[in-house]
Amino acid sequence: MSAIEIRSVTKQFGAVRAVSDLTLDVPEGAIYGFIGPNGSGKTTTIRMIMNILVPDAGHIAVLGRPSQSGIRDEVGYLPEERGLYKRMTVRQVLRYYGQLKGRSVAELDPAIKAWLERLQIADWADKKVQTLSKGMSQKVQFISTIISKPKLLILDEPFSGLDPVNADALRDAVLDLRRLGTTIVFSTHDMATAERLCDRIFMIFKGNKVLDGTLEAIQSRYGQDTVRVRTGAGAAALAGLPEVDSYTDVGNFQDVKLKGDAQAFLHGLAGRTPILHFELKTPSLHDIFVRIAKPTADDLKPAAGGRP
Amino acid sequence: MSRILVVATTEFLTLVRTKAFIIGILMLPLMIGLSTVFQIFAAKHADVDDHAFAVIDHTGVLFPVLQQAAGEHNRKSGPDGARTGPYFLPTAVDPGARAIDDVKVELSQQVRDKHLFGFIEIPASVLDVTRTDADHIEYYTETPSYDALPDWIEATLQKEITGRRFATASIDRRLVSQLTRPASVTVLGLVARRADGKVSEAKEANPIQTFVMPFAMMYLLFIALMSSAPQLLTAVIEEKMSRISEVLISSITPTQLMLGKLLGVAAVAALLALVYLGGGVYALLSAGQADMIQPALLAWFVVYLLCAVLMFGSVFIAIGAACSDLKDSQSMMQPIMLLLVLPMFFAIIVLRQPNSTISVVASLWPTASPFLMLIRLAMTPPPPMWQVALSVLLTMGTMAVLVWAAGRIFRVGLLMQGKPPTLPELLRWIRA
Repeated sequence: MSAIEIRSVTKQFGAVRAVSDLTLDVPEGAIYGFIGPNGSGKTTTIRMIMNILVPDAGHIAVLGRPSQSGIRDEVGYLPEERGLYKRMTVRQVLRYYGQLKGRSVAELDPAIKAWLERLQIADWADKKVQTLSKGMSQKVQFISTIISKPKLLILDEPFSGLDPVNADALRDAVLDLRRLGTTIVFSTHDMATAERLCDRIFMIFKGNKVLDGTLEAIQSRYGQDTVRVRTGAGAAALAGLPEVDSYTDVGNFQDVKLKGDAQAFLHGLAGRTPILHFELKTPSLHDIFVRIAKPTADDLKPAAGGRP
Repeated sequence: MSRILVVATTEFLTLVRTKAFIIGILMLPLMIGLSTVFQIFAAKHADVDDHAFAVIDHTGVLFPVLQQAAGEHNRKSGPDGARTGPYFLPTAVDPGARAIDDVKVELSQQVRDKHLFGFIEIPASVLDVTRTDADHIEYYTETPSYDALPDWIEATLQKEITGRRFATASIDRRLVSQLTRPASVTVLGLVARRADGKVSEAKEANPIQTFVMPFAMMYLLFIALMSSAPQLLTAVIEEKMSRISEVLISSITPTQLMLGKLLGVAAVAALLALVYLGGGVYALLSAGQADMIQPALLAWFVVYLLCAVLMFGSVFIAIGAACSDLKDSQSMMQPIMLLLVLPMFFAIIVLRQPNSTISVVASLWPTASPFLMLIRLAMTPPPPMWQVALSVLLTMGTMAVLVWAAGRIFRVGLLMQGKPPTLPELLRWIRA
């Protein structure tokens, strides 16, 4: 059974079609990464899954039931824009959020203690939220989302703004929850995190699904058209070679996207400069993202109408 | 239902724990206490100055009387150093051969120089018993707002002048007071035959009970409402600004959230009412005025307070949901404040003629009903029961519609940032 089942869903805001005829299945137990440029429809999709927005057309089922029915108790949701009651203590906030999901205080308190200890903020349990640093309040927000032990966890940009140590701590927590059988959907702009954590990747661009599948499947679809080279002359040696479509200059290396034969390119390059390194590789998720979402001149015109 | 209670409890505790609430709850008794103390203090100590004034007495006989009366007045004001009132110090001025206008100019200059407080001119005609027109004693001053001195002069001279006129006309003063004895109207309640056959004594109408009580009830309702319901506006905007709302409605429905908040604030208002009414009852009991306590009226007070809090509370929530910061909400608050203050103006009309058509209509109009029907209930005779029932029904119905509409606005407005919506936009949100 799918944890989330989206069928031909469309959502329009005025003249802007935020999500267009989207169909998607999130299998149970998976970690699914939602990627896409800002304003491409990620948050709108997530809000429709949470029944905060209602689709104009199509149908969404969450944990086997229509999203309009009371599935909220089994779903944990961390919105992109999130906050806490500043004047409550950490413990009060966590209890409140847990009780709103129908859990009792007796049930919540041991879990609150365990999570605060695990994320090393146990000393702050009875401090007011307004005294916390940004990183600490992000940890509290994360705990508030998972404190009710949801079957499905939806995290919108969960790691943005965290330092590497805290980001790792939350990443480990996410992987632990997955091991316990929780289905996890998260959106991110960090392609390296998506590559490392996700079983499957979904990319939405201008309201349309452009990628959906496992990382390997996506990468193989884009083929081995990339070569990493290191030469004596550097990027200058690439100019004018007919096989070069485009390249990314990383200083010591150049990642070259080819439009012709790799062997012909090797020959042509060898005739110009000594080759120190030549490696055929699959494009990274980052490269694929940029290839799809690179703005065209058309995109840079100011768009009419806003979005909520 | 349990989620509504969770929201209500949290809202209640959050509001009650704030400093603003503690200050608010102490504010009313503090203000009443302070103003009482201040008034007593002002009455005792404000005016202990010397007020010297000159007297141009054309009758030639009234000044000595005035001087003697001033002496008695000053003795009553207490000895120097421990005065409880002002000293009045008259001096006679004889214009002699000088033009009276020159004298007045000179005295005016003395007032400007603060040597005198004022001066009076008593015309000779005041003792003339053949005239029928009103006469005038002229009082000149730089400080016309101070009325203790002219009042005292008027009272003193009036008595003396009348006495002298009667003496001149050879009429016995005692006869005059016997013949002009007043026959005033005393306002009484109704009588009834008691079980023992005797007729119960009618109670004299108590001005405190008939006028002060209804007004006091209405203002208490207003204060309890204003120190609880507007908090909803702040709470909702704060939730929007600190991005909590989206988390909340991923757990519960906007309607559950709204009802929970309303319930929490209603509990706060009920607590306030309990404190104030309890204090009032205690004050009346300890003042030996137990018969002024009307349990039924107290019950109606609670009913209408809840009606008012729930109704205006849902309006405040809707405004909070539609605005993204406190500044935006100010302009939308104004019409609501008008609705809240309007009953205060109508209260006087209702008090004068509780059963006139305008009073009945005004006290059934939902936004005014909690205030005006409460006034009518505090008066005798009470309004017909069907009107009271209808007013509760109308208020509750309005509340239900408002909660529903506010829920719709809340749902749409929650995710909106930026400029506040216009009225047509709001109506579209409600219909959407």
